[in-house]
Amino acid sequence: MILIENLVKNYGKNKVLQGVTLNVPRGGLFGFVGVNGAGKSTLIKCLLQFVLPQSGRIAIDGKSILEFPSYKKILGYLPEVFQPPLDLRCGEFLNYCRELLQNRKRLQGKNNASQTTESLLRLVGLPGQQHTLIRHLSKGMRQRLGLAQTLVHDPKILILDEPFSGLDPIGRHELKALLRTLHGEGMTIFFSSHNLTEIQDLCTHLAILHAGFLQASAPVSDLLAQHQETNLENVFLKLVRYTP
Amino acid sequence: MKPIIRYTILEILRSRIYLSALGLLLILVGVSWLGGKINDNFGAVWVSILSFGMGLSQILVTAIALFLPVFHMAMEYEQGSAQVFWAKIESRSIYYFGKFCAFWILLVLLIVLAALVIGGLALLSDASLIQISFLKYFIFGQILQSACILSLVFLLYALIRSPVAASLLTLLTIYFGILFDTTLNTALQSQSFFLKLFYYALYYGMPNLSYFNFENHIIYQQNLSISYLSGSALYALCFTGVCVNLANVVFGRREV
Repeated sequence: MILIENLVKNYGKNKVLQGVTLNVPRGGLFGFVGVNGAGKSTLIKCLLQFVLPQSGRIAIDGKSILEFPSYKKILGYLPEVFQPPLDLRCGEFLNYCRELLQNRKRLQGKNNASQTTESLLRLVGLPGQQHTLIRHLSKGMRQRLGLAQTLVHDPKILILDEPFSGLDPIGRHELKALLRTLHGEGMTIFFSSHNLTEIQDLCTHLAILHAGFLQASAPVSDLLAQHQETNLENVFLKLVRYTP
Repeated sequence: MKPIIRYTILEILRSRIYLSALGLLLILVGVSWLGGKINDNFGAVWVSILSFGMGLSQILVTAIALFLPVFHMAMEYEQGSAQVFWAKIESRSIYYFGKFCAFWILLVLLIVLAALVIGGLALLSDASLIQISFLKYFIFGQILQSACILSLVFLLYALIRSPVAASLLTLLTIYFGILFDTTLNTALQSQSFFLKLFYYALYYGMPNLSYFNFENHIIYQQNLSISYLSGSALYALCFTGVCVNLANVVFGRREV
């Protein structure tokens, strides 16, 4: 579904991505792991064209994103740090995001749009908050609203940058359940994380990035079998050649 | 682009900064009324109200144009909501131009409100002497001036990415623009072709806000010719057009 080939990105002399090649399969729940500064966020930024790589190619469904500018209509994205505009109401924010992607005239009737917004809010655990000012939501609730905005246009691919950061244990549990549900419905989910337990618990596929190089990219079960380990933390430490 | 304009306006209208600005505007115009009552330098209270009111409103509108848009956009970037919006549109230029339009509409709203308050107070002080319709020149001039200032601050923010630096550099450029207001005379008197060219370049290159200052015409209730007003509008259109287009190109291409 997403094919990244020989991606190279430097910030001045700092080589962040050095020939990364990665294939995210359709319908996969793909975890992307690396230490701080490994290049995870930069790779996501390349995918969204926030930064331009020095070389390499990114394709979605076989089409290069440079030749397919409307590819963003099939993506949902949640950045690592996210705070929605505080002076909008939850429903207004979701409508804002929806209208950016769709022609307003093409949107469904007002009642239907309102129903969609309410069902989205219910899905992320914010029922009845459509008219609440975002300023009055807690941090965890804002994160959930962030997740809701990724789903406003029924995307095929979700790209989440550290989605579990800042969530309490119940929030994490609910987010995992939601990602499983979306994955079950056939959505391709690509997310970066530091937490290997969460990835082992949740993902079908895993990629490990270290110092700009891709160390591994495979189904989680294959990776565990290949390294004869039962937990991903040991596989990760082996692959990044960690010595205490 | 329409959702960006609509929801930005909605957000800013609800924000404390804009509400504070509206409150401050009322206070400033009220102060100008008091000032006019206490110190009647102009011979008539309504003239003082017009003069002080327009001056103070102009300072407030300029300050908002300089600081509010860039700090708003910088905050959206820091908080990640800008990235969420950029991930949904084909080009970041759409976002940037949408923000420009939204803030200009907000400034126009503030200017019209200021004119209404100033006019109302002036009428209250002496309704028989003033023709309030002359305040249309204030509205016209301020709308054009705010477009120029806004476009310049958007261009500098696209180039240097720092809201503080963009605002202060714009302020500095406006200040130099006022200083170079006399260079037209110098250019006309200059004998050397190159010096003449240099002074002309300085005069036309720097933002010249004196084109939009119709204070004397409003106070002395003199009509302005259509050709002069058209010239001012054309200058604002060219200046804003160049700055906004450059800003959109730079912002659309820059790495974020």
